[in-house]
Amino acid sequence: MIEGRNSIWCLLVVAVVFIAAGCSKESAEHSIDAEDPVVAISNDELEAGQATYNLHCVSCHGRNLEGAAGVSLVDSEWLHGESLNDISSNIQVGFIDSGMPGFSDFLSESEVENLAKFIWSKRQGWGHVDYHIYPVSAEDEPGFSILETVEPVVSGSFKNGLADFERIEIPHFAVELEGPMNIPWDEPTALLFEEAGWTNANQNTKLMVEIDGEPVEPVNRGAWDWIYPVEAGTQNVKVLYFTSGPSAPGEDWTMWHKSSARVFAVRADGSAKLAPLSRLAKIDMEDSVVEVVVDDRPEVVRLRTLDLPSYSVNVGLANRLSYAFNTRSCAIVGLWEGEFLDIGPNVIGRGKEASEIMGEWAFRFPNVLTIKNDNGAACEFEKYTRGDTPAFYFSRNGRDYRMVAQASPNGVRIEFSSKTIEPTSDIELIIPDMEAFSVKQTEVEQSASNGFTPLTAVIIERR
Amino acid sequence: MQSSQHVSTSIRAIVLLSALGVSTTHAFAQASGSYAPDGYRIETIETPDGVPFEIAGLAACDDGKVYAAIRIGDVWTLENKTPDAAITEPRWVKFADGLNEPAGVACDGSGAIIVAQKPELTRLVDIDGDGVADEYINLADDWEFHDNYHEYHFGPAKDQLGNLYGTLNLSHDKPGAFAMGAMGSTGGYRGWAYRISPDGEFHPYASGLRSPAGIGTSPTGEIFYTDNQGDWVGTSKLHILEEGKFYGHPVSLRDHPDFTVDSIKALPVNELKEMSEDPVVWFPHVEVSNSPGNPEWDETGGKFGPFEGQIFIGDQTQSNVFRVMLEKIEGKYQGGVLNFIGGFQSGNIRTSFDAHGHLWVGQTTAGWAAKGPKPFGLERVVWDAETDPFELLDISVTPTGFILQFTEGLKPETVTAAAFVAQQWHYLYSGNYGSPKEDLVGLITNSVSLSDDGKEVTVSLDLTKGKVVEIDFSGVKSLDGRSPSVGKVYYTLNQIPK
Repeated sequence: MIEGRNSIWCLLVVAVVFIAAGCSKESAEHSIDAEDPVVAISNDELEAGQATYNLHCVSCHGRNLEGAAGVSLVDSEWLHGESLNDISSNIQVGFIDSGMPGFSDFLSESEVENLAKFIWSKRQGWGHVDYHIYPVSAEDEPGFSILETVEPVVSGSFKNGLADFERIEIPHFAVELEGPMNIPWDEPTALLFEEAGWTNANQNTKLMVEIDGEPVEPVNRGAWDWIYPVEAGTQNVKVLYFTSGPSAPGEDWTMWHKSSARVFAVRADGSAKLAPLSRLAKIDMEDSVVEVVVDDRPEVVRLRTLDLPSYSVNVGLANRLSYAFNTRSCAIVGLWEGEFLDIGPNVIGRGKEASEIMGEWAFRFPNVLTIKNDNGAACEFEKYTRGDTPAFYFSRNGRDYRMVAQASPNGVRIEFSSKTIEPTSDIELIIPDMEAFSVKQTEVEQSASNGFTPLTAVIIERR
Repeated sequence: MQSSQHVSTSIRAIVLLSALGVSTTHAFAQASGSYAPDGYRIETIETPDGVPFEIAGLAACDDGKVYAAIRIGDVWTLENKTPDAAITEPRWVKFADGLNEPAGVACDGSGAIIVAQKPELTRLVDIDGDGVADEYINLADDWEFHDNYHEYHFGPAKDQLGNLYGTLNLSHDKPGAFAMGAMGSTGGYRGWAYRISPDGEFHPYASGLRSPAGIGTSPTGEIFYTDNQGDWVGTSKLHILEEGKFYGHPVSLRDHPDFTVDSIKALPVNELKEMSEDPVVWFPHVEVSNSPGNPEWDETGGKFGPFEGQIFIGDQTQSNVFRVMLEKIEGKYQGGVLNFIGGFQSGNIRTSFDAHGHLWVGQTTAGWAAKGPKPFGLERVVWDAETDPFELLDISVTPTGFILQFTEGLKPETVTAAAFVAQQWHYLYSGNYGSPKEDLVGLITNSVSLSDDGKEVTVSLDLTKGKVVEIDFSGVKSLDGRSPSVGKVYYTLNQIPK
């Protein structure tokens, strides 16, 4: 199932209805616009659609519809129709020139319908964004009452669902953005308005967000970034943004506002960006991939990592297993299978977001692998060493340890040793349960190496 | 872990930052153009191919190597037998990698360096002598790092007793942080400077720092640091760093035993101002500096020209290097600042003199805007050792004005009262983001006189304590008809000598 960018799978400006998967046990119904048809999608339909997707589509379009050989089904570029009928039709007919066959011979009508609903429910962000741009003057106080007294100079619609502030060609303006937005994530989500002076008395700016006609209170993340909580599912999101300067000599704030304004869907705590909602935000996210991969020797990367606590040191082994050692707790706070790390969010731009693992967790914090005997005791982290087998040196309760995690044929062997602790000591480990891995105790050498005598070791193997 | 010319990196896909460096919280207009003293030039050093070489730590060490710590977490060494080889055939070796945004590096004897990375001060040691660090040793991690992007860690600087000093940036856009302006603290000595004794003891040393991106040691072993303009910092500045002192940003006081968050909020601004140390030099915003890096002293013994003992600082926004001249009045440092050389390719954050008297300049925009167009790089300033520049050499205050000393003799007919145009102002201390020039007024130049050797001009002005005094001397000419490349100096008048 290979197709080009202009396929059914990048269709859809959803002007109708989105129902988020898994957000409700009940059948849901929601109208975005009075002129749009109302469509109800039940959880059963979504589950059936997901089953069909997993069978026929996942290999080309990815587990999370993010795209692989086939294009992404969740981004903002939907070019071949926005209705459920369009999606269903395109599934049945296919885009053979792009490498995607029609599925009418393989799928029943109800299977196609459920599949279309499932895909539709996964759409991220705005379907389309209608905009009106109003002229204001540099002397105007920031506010939106002016919208009642002046006519917009430009109106239109961003059909790709991405607000484009650079489209605004007048220096001082108020802009109204409005469109249906789907929030498909299970985790609490928010809208992040980043970088520009969104609401700043010194810069004569003001931002207001309405969801389904009701004003939403922001959670001020800081001086320049603003966060507005948003519910899962579909809602009409309206944004009003006013900027009239003033422009001090050499400080063209309004130009800066246009050229730096970015809008994202993010985790509610702001820790990770989930989807772009504006054009520059999309460029940022596309350009923010910096993959660190492991060749023949382990890699060690200490950058902030999503879902891991501060002070974690990530180690990628050569057999596509990686772990994170935390220098505050002296515990292994994560183990994952797959590629190592995408550090882009942490090193592109100002690096406000965390690096992300490129694999599946076997376990992660708050589950940890650690020495039971001293668990909870203050940890003194001494150092780590590099080379073919990175080793971590630390002490707890005044007892010194060395921890080495080494790639084994089907997993990883983790060994704790010490310079001072008697090898006969009864050292126990806390090891999290893992679905995909089994754990077994293994023999250790009885003799010391470089002054360190092994105490205990386990092998974590793929099941 | 390979030497370059054939740089192999594990980073598969790298996107350079130029496309992203479109926003800034700082000003946009820049002093215009490239400028340099006669005889000085900027040379660009090729950096490893395919590596986003955003230098945030730089040290030219006694072993002849230049160490560059870059933002993605690497430390690279430039190994060249001759100065020219750095240009013609730069040989880069990756010394270390995987660090957490290192923003400072210091030499620490053969085969070792010390790196300031966000969560830790780390000693990197090459045990087996292959040019690659084998051990990453924790020297100190006694502060709290909360994974906020702006919680930078700068340093270290070393005093003559072997103590190490570093500075800890406040956070920005950190949910839950205690803020009284743009920057905040979630506690754990954010906004503090620390000292680590030779036996490894961590000591919170001073508070009130905001975005202290540069720290350095003077030839006499004193520690100085720079801070960036913003809330509670009217314009960027240079301080001498002293134990127990408070440098103005209130939120850091949450870690001070005498304060709580509530008691800090209740402090009147005037009281906070009284508690705060005066900078030894203010750097006028945009005209000189928006985002200063480390202070680097010229101890080259004349290899860099006539500016021995003066301080050279790069600026990340202005893409320039400026010069600071200090003197002690009433037992305290104060002095002047003026631009030195402009027109670099990127934002200048680090400066380091090598044994040849070349000033290395490490560069990154780090996601902010810089006047120079490139997102990162490495350059150096070289004096040709032949051409005598015609510039202001030094400035010192008198009870009735200033003495301006030039590198060359002046044409007497250009030394008139009208040729020395002065004005003064001060900066407002508040939680607003930066300060305009408050009470900006022109000063009447009462008289000027030229010394017998033609190099010193005594300018008579009515002085007011607490002001920054700008003197525009761009109209003077040397005996051979040259104009100075930089024609304005800014003096911070904390004290007027009696």
